[in-house]
Amino acid sequence: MGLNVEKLRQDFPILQKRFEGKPLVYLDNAATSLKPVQVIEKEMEYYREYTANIHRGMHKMSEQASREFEKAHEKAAKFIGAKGIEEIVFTRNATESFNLIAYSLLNEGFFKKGDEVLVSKMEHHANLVPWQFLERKAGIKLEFVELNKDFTLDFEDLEKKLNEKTRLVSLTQASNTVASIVDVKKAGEIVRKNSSALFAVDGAQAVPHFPVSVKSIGCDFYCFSSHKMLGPTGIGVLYGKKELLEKMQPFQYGGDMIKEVQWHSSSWNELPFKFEAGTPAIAQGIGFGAAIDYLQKLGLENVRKHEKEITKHALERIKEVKGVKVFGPEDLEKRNGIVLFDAGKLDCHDIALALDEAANVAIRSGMHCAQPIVESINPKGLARASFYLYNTKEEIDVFIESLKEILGTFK
Amino acid sequence: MVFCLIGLAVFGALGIFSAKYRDYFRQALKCVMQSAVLRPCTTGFDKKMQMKISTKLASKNKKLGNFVFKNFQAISVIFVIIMFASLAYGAYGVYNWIAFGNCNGPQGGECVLNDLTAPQTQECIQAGIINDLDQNSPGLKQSTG
Repeated sequence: MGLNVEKLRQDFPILQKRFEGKPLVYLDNAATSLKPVQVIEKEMEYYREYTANIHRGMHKMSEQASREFEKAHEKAAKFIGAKGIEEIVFTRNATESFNLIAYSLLNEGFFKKGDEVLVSKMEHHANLVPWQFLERKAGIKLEFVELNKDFTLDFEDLEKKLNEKTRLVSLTQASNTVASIVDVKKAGEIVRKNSSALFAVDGAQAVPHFPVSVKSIGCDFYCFSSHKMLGPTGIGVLYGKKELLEKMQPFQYGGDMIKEVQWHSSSWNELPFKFEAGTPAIAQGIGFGAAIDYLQKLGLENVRKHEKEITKHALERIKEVKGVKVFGPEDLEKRNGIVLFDAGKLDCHDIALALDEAANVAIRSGMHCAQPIVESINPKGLARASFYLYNTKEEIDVFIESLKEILGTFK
Repeated sequence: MVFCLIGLAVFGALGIFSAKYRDYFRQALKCVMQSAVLRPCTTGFDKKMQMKISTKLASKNKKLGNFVFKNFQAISVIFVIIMFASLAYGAYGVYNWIAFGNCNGPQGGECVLNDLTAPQTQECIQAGIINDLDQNSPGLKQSTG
């Protein structure tokens, strides 16, 4: 059974709004997704019915808040096939998850001068800049896996770049720019076969769109954000293998992450709370749990199927627009619901502004937090339309017709 | 940068009446301040306005929209020149009015500032003509019944 898009659209309050009499066509889902009323209500429920701090109160409301917050951890664990909540650390977002890995491994002296960290050339800044920091701080060398001509990962180059100095390989599972889906299971096998490096995966553009199993991938770390998968902002996930997280040093120090504190020493709380210092984003965490419920109810296979259909429609229709060049793999199996494009003479920001002004079509323009790869295609930046489960073929048509109109007008 | 100067004046005035324009005013101000210290404008204000105005015009007339889009910089320069010219001319008028009691200087002539303080206007107020007008206004008649 597929998605009933017309019905599920009723769950999204923003889609019912009119801007100057016109509906919103939201095609900026790779940046953040819209939120269904179920998530908004769940988040509000915490504020309305059981506002309390977690893990430190004896009263009913604190117990309920703690229970709901931990339930969200359980849901996240089940959602990505982790063993349990001890492998699910709530962070602020995927960026913080990567920073946690970088800082924590640095603090325990995991990296030595001359060690190598390997990332691909299509990474988001979240999976690039923390390793650049390690280059300066620990003297590691950052290496890059090349891409094929169709912007898919070059697995041969990955194999070639692995050696005894490689300490960590960190790859995206789905690009936020060139739309490639990386077979991270295959990449993980190559990494394990050719090195003793840890393997981290950026799942920010994968988890919201298709089923993911960390067990099947066999990765050591997996990072993603709630706000890209219908959930609230300010909450993200770091999955880590239990035995690794146990060995790792805390990322931040203070309240809630401790078991015992003396004047000059402390011991750490059990996993995952050892890595969740201070009062966390409780309402957001609980709302995130509701987002997982919502996605599971729809079924991620159905979400993927729907996205493939509308992406196919968009790629076919965008060919009608003269002067537009699309980047990314042609094979739908190898790409996600992102259409990265260049419109020749017209600047990407101009296109985004004109689409918004003329037809309430919200797309993204610029470097998309992946400056090196985008700049290598067009130094001025590119335009990006990204789809999600509530987008329709009619919306794609509005986008394409408006794009045609704009490019026909502003020559 | 050029359009930011116009935006500063236009949205500064409009911002008195609407909060929507106050944000534009702030963006224009930031842009002007950045440019004043030879830094690039980071708000993208002129670009946003260029597309907003051009798209609005294009919805009425495509050719006009495209013309404004293509020549936005030149049109902005013309408007800035007109703005500064009228400011300078206005300032000169005020100087003349203070120095000679007339906007046009010693040679005299029609002056809007004179009209405001003209003896006739003062006489009208003193004679109570304005009160008489108020008494006879239709709104007053209705309210008094």
